Amino acid sequence: MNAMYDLLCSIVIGGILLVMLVGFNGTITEQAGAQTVRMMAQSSLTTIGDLVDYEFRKMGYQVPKGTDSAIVFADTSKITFKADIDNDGTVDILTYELDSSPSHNANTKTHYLYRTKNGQTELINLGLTQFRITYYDASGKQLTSYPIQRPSKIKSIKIAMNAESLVPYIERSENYLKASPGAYWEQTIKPRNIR
Amino acid sequence: MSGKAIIIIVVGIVVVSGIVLYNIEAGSIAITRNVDRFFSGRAAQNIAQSGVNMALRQLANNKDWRTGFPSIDMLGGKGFVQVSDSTWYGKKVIKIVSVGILNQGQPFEVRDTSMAYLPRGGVPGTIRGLITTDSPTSLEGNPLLDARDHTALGALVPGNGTLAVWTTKTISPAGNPIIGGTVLGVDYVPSDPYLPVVVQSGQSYPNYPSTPDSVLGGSAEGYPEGTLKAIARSGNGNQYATDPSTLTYPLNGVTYVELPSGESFTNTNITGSGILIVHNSAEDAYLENCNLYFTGLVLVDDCLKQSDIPHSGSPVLTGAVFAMSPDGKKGRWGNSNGSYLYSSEAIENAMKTAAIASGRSLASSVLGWWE
Repeated sequence: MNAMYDLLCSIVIGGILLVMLVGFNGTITEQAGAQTVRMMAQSSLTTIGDLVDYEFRKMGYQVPKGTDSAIVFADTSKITFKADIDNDGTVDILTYELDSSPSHNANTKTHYLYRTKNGQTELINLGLTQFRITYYDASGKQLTSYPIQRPSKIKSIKIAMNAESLVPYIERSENYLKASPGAYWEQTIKPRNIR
Repeated sequence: MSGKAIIIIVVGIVVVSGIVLYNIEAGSIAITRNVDRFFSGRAAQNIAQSGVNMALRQLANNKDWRTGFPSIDMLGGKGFVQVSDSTWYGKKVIKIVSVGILNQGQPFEVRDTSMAYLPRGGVPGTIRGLITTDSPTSLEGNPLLDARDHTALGALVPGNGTLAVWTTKTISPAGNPIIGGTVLGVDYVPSDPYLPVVVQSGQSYPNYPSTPDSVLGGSAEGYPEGTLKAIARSGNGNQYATDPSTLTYPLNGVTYVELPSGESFTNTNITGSGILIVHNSAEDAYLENCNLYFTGLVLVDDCLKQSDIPHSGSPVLTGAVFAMSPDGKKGRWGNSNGSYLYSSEAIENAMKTAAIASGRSLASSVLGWWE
């Protein structure tokens, strides 16, 4: 009888332990997945961040003075500017624009970012869900009438971006359903060649 | 289920969990490393940009400073700054190259480079002759106009001079000027009568510069309107005056005399060097009846006459003269027995004082930033 009782207790305790282990395993597996997704989103974001930082800082480089501004068009999700990006003596025209329609990725919250250089458009599909540009004048006051009517007033630019994974991922283990972990990047750039 | 099976299952789950935890850890490390790399990049960028700004500050105090900062610890990294004379798309510039390094010599070393190009001076392209005017030009008295090139001290430099007079209008020698110059690398010794080849009249110059800043090249060369006046007002040897009697001599750096309309800076022995500007917005400020013992660039609206007032030694203007007024009312040049010697060296030295005025922030003068 005692042997039966011991066996029963062992099964119950072992079962509980097993369920705990299975649950723990499930949780950390999900966390591992979320972590990977976060890492990918963050890598995508820093890749775009590097590109934006590199090219926006060149804004106005080698652009002849006297024109209104090196910035041709400035809106919340689109900017066109001039700069000799390649340092080859030729002024290039660059446009960054976030596509307002959802991308064809499984995660439909993401959008394509278009980078156009001298008429040649490249599609950047790195899971951007937000690409917002705000503009400031020399005194640091935000310019709020879009598109900016006098781009020569722009002296600094804040870019805010958010990226998620290209495929939707939901963390069910959280207290609430957390869809598609991502990363956020924000930077204010003061291109020194626009004066 | 046997005990052995349970042990196998538990061990299996532990192993799987361990692998998954390892992956989580690896993900965390990758995220941290990515952030670290990004942060390091920005930090290196800050170091590089700080290096450029420090060099600009040094150059503001000493225009001839080219030492750079071979190695300097700052902001948790190292900066290397080189300063050199260079050319940048055809312009003579001072090139500042600053490299910022974070985690130097370590596996995650990050570098960033910032460059700035500062105008070095040189003879402005607007200077077409020893005397350049946009109005009828009357050469009065018996001045010596020697447009062959000279050093700032007056020694002859063969084959590098310019025209004696270049104007968009007419030239009328009212006296007996002695004129020489250089045409296509050939020097012509000053003579009376002069050889017509050393002067040019009726020339075309669309958008002829009518302000001091535009003479020096305007915004494209780092001289947006108001720059020279601001330099003159900055002190440190530069002078700004509406009353010329308040000037102190010898002049150096940028001297800006802003006269009321139609008035003259007159009856003065002007000694010194640099850039002398006599100008007003009506473009009718005159410089007349003065003895110029001056080395550099003279920018005057209209009329530059050496004086007949008593003086010891022959007044010599070494450099070049540029008249800004279109169709100036006086248009009288020369007079007396003074000399005008063209000197590219004197002009370049004068341009240095304007490009890098002592103590002035140079950030606004930078022609291009690469960062």
